[in-house]
Amino acid sequence: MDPGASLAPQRVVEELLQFLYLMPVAVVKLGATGAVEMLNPKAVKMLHDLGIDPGHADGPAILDGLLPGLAAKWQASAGKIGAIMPPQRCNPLHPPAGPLHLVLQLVRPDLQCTMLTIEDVTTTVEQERELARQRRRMGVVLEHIHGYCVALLDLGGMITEWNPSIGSLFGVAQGVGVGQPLFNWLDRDISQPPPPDFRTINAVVKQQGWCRLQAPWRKVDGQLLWGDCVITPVIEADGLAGSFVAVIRDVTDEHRRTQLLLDETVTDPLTGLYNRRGLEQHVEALLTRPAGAPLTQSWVMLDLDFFKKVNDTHGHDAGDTLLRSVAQTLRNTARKGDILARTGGEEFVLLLPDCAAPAAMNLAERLRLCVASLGVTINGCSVRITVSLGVAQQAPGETWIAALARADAALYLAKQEGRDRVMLAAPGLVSPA
Amino acid sequence: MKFAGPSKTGRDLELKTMRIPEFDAPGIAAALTAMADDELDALPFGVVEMDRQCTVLRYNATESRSSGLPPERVVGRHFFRDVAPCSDNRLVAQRYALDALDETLGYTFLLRMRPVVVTLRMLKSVESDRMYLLVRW
Repeated sequence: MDPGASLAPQRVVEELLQFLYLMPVAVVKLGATGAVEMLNPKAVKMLHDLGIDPGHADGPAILDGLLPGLAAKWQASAGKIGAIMPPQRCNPLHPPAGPLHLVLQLVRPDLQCTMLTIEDVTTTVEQERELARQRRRMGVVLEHIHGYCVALLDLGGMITEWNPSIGSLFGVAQGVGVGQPLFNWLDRDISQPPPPDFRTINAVVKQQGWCRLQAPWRKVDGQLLWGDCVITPVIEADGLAGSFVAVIRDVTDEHRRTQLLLDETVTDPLTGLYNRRGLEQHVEALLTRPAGAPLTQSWVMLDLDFFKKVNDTHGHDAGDTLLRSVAQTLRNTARKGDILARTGGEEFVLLLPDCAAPAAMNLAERLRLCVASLGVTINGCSVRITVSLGVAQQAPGETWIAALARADAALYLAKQEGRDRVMLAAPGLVSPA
Repeated sequence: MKFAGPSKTGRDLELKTMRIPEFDAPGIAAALTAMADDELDALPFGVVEMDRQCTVLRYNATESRSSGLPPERVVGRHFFRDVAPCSDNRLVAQRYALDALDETLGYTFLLRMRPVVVTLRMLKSVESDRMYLLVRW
């Protein structure tokens, strides 16, 4: 419904006049000869501010007063209908109070008139300049911090911008990686828990205001880099996160040092394999993988046959040498990602992730053969040794402790059957102990 | 034109002259404050009466005819900001920041969006709580 329909003509005129009085953009209508035919109050005010009296100045004088040469341009376009000048910024000469930034536009809707609009964008320009200044200052600060990489991310974790120190950190040229997910740079080693995806990070950031992630990253040349990454949201005026800032610090050296310290408590010093505690830690990490289908994993328990006799005959040093040789054989034979541990005197445990019973049996059999063919020379004489092995595939719903106990029971059977052999634990097998 | 036209008697003339102050008469502000609305409407020049916050109190008929805005669209509003933004600048509006003001100025006003050169008289005094803008079209 037309709300003006019920108004008297006079009222309509008043409404239109008031509308024009309050229009925040200056509009000037020039006649064909250049006379100022009409203009709104905003135009009067702005022209007065610029020292142009619209009551006395004609169109060309106004045009040139705003932008020198504009009058000639207008005259040259005589006879042309449509846009004479698309929106253009200008800084009129001698503004009375500070620099003035205007946007001018000139349109000739018909041959009898030309419309000039003037918009004051001084505030916008000042804001843009201040923003540019801030960016330059931040740029200087960011370029000169070493060992830190600062990246701006969009809400999907894509890099929109990053500082030059990324070059030295990841070994890439400026601008490389922009538009790609930051987490593409994370190292993806299958033996490690998978890196969190960005949605997880996003949720954490939303909840606690920031998120920290210590993870291995992969440099362009393939080298590993340990990065301490803190992600914080950039809150926009509406109170919501509009983007993220990620600061990554190179902590490779620190990580190596703490890893060494940590290793001592989880490593068997004789063989360099994990000790029982190390095994448990890895199992915990592996079993608390957040996403993905549960893995089929198998356990192998390995025990040296008649090890006591070796110790008694050749001495403890000989026994240690033998243990180290067996450990090395395990390392050579196991797959990357298998967890190897020495859990007792002459007892070893292997956790084989993503491995069902047949493959586990194969591996155990290969281990048995490799150890049997080992020629270990101790005090000038060659000592031969055999091992017995028990294998158990962890059943769905079964705890790892229970699976390991079944492997142990299978090992016991292997010993009973005469040693130097591999036995597979049946689903219900229980330890005789 | 109630007060215009030649008067018949000297006594009348004296009376009317007193009651129809000239645009540039000294001390006009006090006379305007004392005038009734219809007397203000009868003046041949535009009168905008404002309080010290520039809110329009009275807007006479001459000014209303020229601007095309009836008083009810103007009274109660901030004159320079909401009624006549063309004068919201250092030449006019900002002059009213002075404690006392009586200045006459050639300025361009709009008569239904057409530029017209007018004479403005800006009035403000320490004693009065009313401010005036007179417009001779």
